[in-house]
Parts: sequence; C-alpha cells; structure tokens
Amino acid sequence: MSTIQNAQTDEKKEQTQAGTDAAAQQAPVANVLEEDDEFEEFKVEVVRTKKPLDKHKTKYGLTNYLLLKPYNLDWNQDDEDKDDAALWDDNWDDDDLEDDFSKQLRVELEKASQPEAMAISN
Amino acid sequence: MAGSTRLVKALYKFKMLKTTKNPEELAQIVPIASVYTVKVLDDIWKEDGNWDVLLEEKKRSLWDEMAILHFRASAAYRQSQFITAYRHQLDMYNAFLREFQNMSRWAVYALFAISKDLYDLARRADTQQSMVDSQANKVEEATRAINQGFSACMTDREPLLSKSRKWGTYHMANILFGLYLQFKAYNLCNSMIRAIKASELPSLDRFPMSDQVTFRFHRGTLAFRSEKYSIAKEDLLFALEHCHRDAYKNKTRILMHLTPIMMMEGKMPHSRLLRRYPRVRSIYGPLVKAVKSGDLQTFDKQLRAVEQQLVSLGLYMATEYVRKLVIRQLLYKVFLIEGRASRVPFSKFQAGFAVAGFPQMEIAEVECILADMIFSGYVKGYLAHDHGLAVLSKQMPFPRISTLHNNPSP
Repeated sequence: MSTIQNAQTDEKKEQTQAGTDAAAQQAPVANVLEEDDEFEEFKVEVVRTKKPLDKHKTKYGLTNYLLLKPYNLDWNQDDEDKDDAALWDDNWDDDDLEDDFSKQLRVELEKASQPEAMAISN
Repeated sequence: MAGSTRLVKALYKFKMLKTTKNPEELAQIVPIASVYTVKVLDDIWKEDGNWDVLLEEKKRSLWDEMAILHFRASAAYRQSQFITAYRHQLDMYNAFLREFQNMSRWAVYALFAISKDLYDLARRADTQQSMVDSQANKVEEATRAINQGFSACMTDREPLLSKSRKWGTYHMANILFGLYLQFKAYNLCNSMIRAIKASELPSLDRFPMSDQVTFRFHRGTLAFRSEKYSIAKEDLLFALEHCHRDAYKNKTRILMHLTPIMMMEGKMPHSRLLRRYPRVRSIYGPLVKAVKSGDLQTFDKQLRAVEQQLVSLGLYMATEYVRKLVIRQLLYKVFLIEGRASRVPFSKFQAGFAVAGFPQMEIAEVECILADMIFSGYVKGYLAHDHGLAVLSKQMPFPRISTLHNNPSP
C-alpha cells in the first residue's frame, strides 16, 4: 500500500465561539476527540478476519486476508461484535432513591412541608 | 539500459495490464508511490541521472499518455513538488476517466487508488499554495474530478451486472463524503445520496461490508444533522452492529452519534458499553448519571464542560434534547418522595428545582414546565392552577420513557 494513502489528515476541526465564556467557567473535560477523528477507511492492517470467507480463497491456496485486495474488504459475523448494539438499557427508571441527590431532595421536601401547611387554605 | 528503454518497458507493462484486466495488479501499480513505480523511477535515475525522459513530448495513445503522466506525477511527488505533482495527477486522472468509460468492473479498484491520491495531492498542493497566495482551490477542483469518477461508476450501462462498474459506486461515494465534509458541503452530500437512491444499483447489502458500514455511517450522521433521528438511528445501529470489531476508532465515532439518539428515546448506554469506550464514557457518562438521578444541575454542568466538543461534531443540540428527560426524572423523584401522591403542590416541585440548582425558579415557571411535560406526554395529569397543584393520573402518571413516541421532540 502506498504511504500516501496512509497519510494522516491534518485538518483542524473548527470550533465555534458559542458558550466559550460559560465553558471557561467550568473545568473543561479534556478534549477526548483527537483531530484525526474522521471515519477511517477500513484498512487491511486493521481488519483481520477470524475465519476466511470461502469465496476469497486466493489462487495461491492461502486464506489470509492480508493478501486480498484492500478495496474489497468484506467480513462475516465472526468479526463483528453484536454486543455493542444490544447494550442499551431501557429499564433504568426504577424507583431508586438511595443516591445522594435523592437524599438531598428528601431533606428539602420535608423542610418545605412545614411552611406550606400554613399557606394552603381550604 | 538507458532510461528511455526502461520507460518503454514500463509503458508496455501498463499496456499489458489493460489487456489482461487484472484488477489487483493495476490497482497495486497505479498508486503514486507504489513499489513498482518507485522502482521504475529509481532505474531511470540510475541510468540517466535525471527524469527528463519523462518529459519528452511524443505522440502517444491515450493509455500510454496516462501512464506517462502517472510517472511524471510520481517524480514530482518524490521531489515534494506537490503543485506540479497534483497537476500531472489531475491530467492523468482525466485521461484515465476517458479510458474508464470503456472498461468494466475490474478497473474500479484502480479508480479508487488514483482518486485517493488525487485528493491527497490536492491537499498538499493547497498547503504549498497557501504559503504563496490565496489561490488554494485544488481540493475543490479535485472533488469535481472525483465526482466524475463516481458518476462513471453509477451510470454504467453494462447489461451484465457482474461486469458492471456500478460495483464501485458506494466506495467512490464514501471517498466523496470525506471530501465534501472537509468543506462542510452537506447539501452536496445529500444530493449525492438522492442521486444514488434514484439510480438503479444493486442493493446496498450486496456490496462489501466495509462499503456498507461506511456509507451507512455517513448517511446516518447526515440524517442526524437534519434532526431525522429515527432514520439516523437505523443506519447508525447497523453501522455499529456490523463494524469490524478491530476498527475501534470507527466504533467510537458511531457511538458518539448514536448515544444521544438512544438517550432521547430513554435508552441509556449500559455501563459495560461505556467501559469499552472510554471516550464515549467521558462525554456521556456523567450525563447518563444525571438523567437517572434527575440532577439537573450536574447535567447542565457536564453539558457546558463538553459543549465545544459536542458542537464540533454537531452533537450539541441533540444532547440538549436529553435535558427533558432529566426534568422528567426530577419531577418523578418528587412524586415518589411525596409518597406517590396524586395531588402534588407546585411548591413541592419548586423545592425540587431548588435542590437541582435552580433556587430562583418562580411558581409560574414551574407550572409552565409541568404544562410542557404533560403536553409532551412525559407526565399524565392536569394542572389545577387556582389550587396551585398538579393532579396526576392514578395510573402511570409517569409513563416509561421508552414507551413514548418514537420521534423525540425538542
């Protein structure tokens, strides 16, 4: 593969000025997104298949993907990770009131009960 | 052997490749710094001490002309003369395209290679140009040429599908996405998607998985940008599910867009998922925690802390929509703490907002928020304004979020 195709991009992502003041007041979370965060071309060096696809057996009798055309990258389910698409939790809004924030809420709501008893008239 | 003889041999090799129609060989030789090309140039240099033989103007066939231009481009590239290299590469590209019209599927792999080289040279040329003046427009010019390459694939009239250049369409589209996104030409991306949809191509699922995943990622993020979140979700979920397990960076990129959509629908990323992708966790982890607890202040704080990163990826607005869930959760917590009372005074909710970092909130504002929550379906009940309280439905006053509308509303 020619080196030119492996060249890193050197574009800077534009940042807007929106909310810079506000952001400056908070300790910013370290920028975890590197500049080179475009969607990368799937490359032979990165993509190694576990099991070869039969139709890609090379004429030399080898079944190693490294010898295949870099532009026809195909893989099967063994090289995918179905887990990631399934790890979404919609069962989270339980009635857990044990966290710190909930405890704080409870304290304040109990305080708010007393003056309120006098305020509401029937 | 003299340099000129070496060159003649090289041209002959190109000619042979055109005849044997070997897709791999041509694609391996045609990159600007291919092993073969470097060798030829080295050999010529060894003989002549220069590359002048490449510049000789002769009457040549189009294919030979294309090959010579390729070597000229490569020689200029070797000498870091990127503007010159680009010019030769563009001429070579156009010559190739003219031949390409009469070639079939086997040649698309070579097209991919020279397209990428053209783009890379254009960028380097622009960088060099911008040091001289403001005429750095090679990338735009290259994009137009590559667009023609894309069309040459998509509009192939070859009746035998197995030989059709159409099989190169999605790969070329993916190259173009990269280019268009460099200058944020989202409208061009969308026109291209429409053009593909309108053309008669084999269905996407018949193309190599790398083409499918990349295309779906781009189509999904573009839909995301237009706030078409349900459509975006389909593409992004597919991309996530089928992305090769080793392409870690790509998986992260997909998740950066997919997470806010799932959150809007009430589906939180599992801690196992966040553990695997620390970058995703550092941005969305604290937001997820705040949603679950109803802690509005922490949510807002985290949103501010990562605002610039979200904005740069076009994710800020979508993540802001998640804020409604935090409010819903806050109200729900108040409801629970009040013993699931079906009548809850506004002042209780007001006290809740005070704990959540908004002590200044007026009753009228609280009422307004409640009205909005009821309108959006997050809360079931009505407001008894004169009595200063919310009357909540006896059954499911706070429906589970994931059972609500599919299209998250702002």
